[in-house]
Amino acid sequence: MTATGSPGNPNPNLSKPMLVHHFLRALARVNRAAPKQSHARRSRRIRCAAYASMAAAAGPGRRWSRVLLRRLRSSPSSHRRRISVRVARPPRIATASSRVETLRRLVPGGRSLGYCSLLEETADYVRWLDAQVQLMQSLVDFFSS
Amino acid sequence: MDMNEKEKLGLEKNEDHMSYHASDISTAWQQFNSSSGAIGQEIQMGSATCPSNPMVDSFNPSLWNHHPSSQNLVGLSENNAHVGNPPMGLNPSSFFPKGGTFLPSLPKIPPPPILPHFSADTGFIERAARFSCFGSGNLSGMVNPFGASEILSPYANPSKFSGQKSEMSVDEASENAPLPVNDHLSSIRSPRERRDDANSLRESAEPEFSGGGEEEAPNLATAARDNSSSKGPNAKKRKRSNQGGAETEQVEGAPQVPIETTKENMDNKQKNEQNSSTVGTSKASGKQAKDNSDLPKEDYIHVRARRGQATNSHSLAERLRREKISERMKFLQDLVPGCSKVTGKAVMLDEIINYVQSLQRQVEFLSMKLAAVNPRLDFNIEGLLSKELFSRGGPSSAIGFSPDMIHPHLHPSQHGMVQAGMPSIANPSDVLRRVMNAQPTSINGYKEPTSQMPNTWDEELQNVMQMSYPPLNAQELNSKPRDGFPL
Repeated sequence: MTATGSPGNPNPNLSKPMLVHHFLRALARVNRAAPKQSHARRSRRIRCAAYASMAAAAGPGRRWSRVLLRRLRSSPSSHRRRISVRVARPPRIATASSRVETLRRLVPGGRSLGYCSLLEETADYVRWLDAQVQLMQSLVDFFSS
Repeated sequence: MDMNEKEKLGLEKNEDHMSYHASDISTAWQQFNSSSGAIGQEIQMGSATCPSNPMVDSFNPSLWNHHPSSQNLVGLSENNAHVGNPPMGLNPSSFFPKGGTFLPSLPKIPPPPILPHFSADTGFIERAARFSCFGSGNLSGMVNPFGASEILSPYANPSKFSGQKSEMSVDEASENAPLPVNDHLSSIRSPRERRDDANSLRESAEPEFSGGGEEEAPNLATAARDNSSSKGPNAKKRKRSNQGGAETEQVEGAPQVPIETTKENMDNKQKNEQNSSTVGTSKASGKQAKDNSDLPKEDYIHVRARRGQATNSHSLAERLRREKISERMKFLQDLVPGCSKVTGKAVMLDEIINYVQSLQRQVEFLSMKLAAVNPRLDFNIEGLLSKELFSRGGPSSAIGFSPDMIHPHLHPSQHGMVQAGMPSIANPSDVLRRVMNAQPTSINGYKEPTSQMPNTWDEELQNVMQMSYPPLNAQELNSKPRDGFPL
C-alpha cells in the first residue's frame, strides 16, 4: 500500500507513523481500561479512538480536527452538542444546495464553514479518513490472520 | 446630483463635446449661453415650483438675499437641479410669458445658479477630468477648487465674495440684456437641445473660472483660494458632501459608461488613470476624487480582469472565489476514487459525499471488527506498538501500512535486532505494559535488555533504535533514555 496523498498535495504533513502510533496506543488503552466491556461499547470506544487518533495526528491546523477533538473530549452525548452548534451557527447566505448541506453535516466543524473552505476541509478530512481506514483494515487483517 | 440627470448627461455626452467646442470658439457667446442656460433653468424651476408670477418674483429676491448662507443656496440649487429635469415634459410655450415677466429680475439670478451647479454637480468634475479636451495644465489647479469646495467657500465668507459678486452680476447683467430672446429660442428648440444648453453651461462655465478670457473669473478663483485658507465649517461640510457625491458618481460609473463608450474603453480609461503619469496632471483631480474606492480594486484589475469580463470589485472577488473552488474541486477529484471521470459539480459533490460516508461507515465497521477480535488484542497490540516504535525509524515501513511493518520479523534488516531483542520482547506484554503503565518500572524493564544486550548488535540496529526511540521518549518516557540507553 502506498500513501494516499497525491503528488500535488497542498498539505503534505500527513504523517502515517504518528497516526499508527496514536491509534495503537489508543487501542491498548481501550483494551486495558475495559477488558470486560460489551461488544457494542467496545466498538464505540474503538471508533472514538480512531477518530481521536486521526485528529491528534492531523494536528490542530485544521478545523475538522479541532472540532473532532473537542467533540470527543467534551461529552459523549451528541444530541446536546448538535443543538448548541445549531444555535451558534452564524447566519449564512442561503445558496447551499442540499448536497452541500449534507457535506457540511458529514465533515466535522463544517456547519459554520463557507463553501470554499468546506471543500478544503473536506479534502484534508478525506485524506486522513482514508489513511485511518487503511490502518484499521491492515490491523484487522493482521489480527484475523 | 440625481441620477436622472447623470444618465441624460451620459447619453448626450458627445453632444456635450460638440457644444463645448462650439462654446470654446466664442467665449462671449459661451458666457451668454451659460447665463441663458442658467436662466432657462431658473425659469423652468420657477415654472415648476411656483406657477404664479408674483410668487416667482418674490422667490427670486429671496434667493438672491439668501445667497450668503450657502446652506440655503445649495439646497435651492439642488432643487434647481432636481426640478430642472422634469420640465422637459413641460410645454415650452409656457415659458414665454413668464420669461417676459422675468426680465426685470433676471440679471440678479444668474450668479447663484451657476456656482451651486458646480458645487452640486460633482459628476461634472469627473467628466471634466475624463475629457481630453480639458487636458490643459491649469485644469488640475482649476478643478481642485471645485472638488475641494474652495469655489464654494465664497459663500462661507460672504464679505469677500460680495465685491466679486456684484461685479460679476453687473457684468452679467450687461450681457443678460438680450437674454430672453435666446432663452426663448432655446426653449423653443427641442428639449434635447435645451438640455444640451444646460450641459454646455456647466462645461463652458469652467473656462470662465479657469481664467480664460473673463476678468471676474480669476478674481473669483483667487478669492476662492484666499478663502480656502480660512475654510469655514460650511466649506468643510460641502467638501464632505462633494466627496460623497464623487463616490456615488463613481458607483454609477458602471452603468453610465457602457452607454457612451464600450466596456473595454472603460477598462483602458481606468488603467490609464491609474498608470499614466503623463496625463496625470489633467486627470489628477478625477483621480483624487476616486482614490478611496479605487485602491482596493487595483490589484484585482491588474491581476484578473480580462477582456469582456466585469471589473467591479464584487465580480472580481466572486471570480476569484470561483477559481479557488474549482481548484479545490480538482484536488478532491484526485482524492476521491471514481470522481475523475465525473463531470459536473453536482455529481462530483455526490461522489464526495458518498465517499466520505463510505469511509465513515468503514471506520465504524472496522472498529466493530477490531472489537470483535479483541480477546487476542491484549497481547498483539502491545507487540504491534513495540514493532511500530521499532520500525518507525525504518525508511521502508514508515510511510505505508505495509505487512512488513506489521510483521517486522520478516524484514531482513531488522532480523538481527528482533532476534537479539527477543529475550525482552519474547514477553512483550510484560515489558511494554511496564513501559506504558509505570515509568519507574519501565526504567528497570529497559535496563534489563540493555544489560543483556549482546555485543553483536551492529551499527545499523543501533541507529534504528536511536531513531525510533526519541518520539516515545519525548512523549511519555522522559527519564528513560539516560537510564535505558547507556550505549
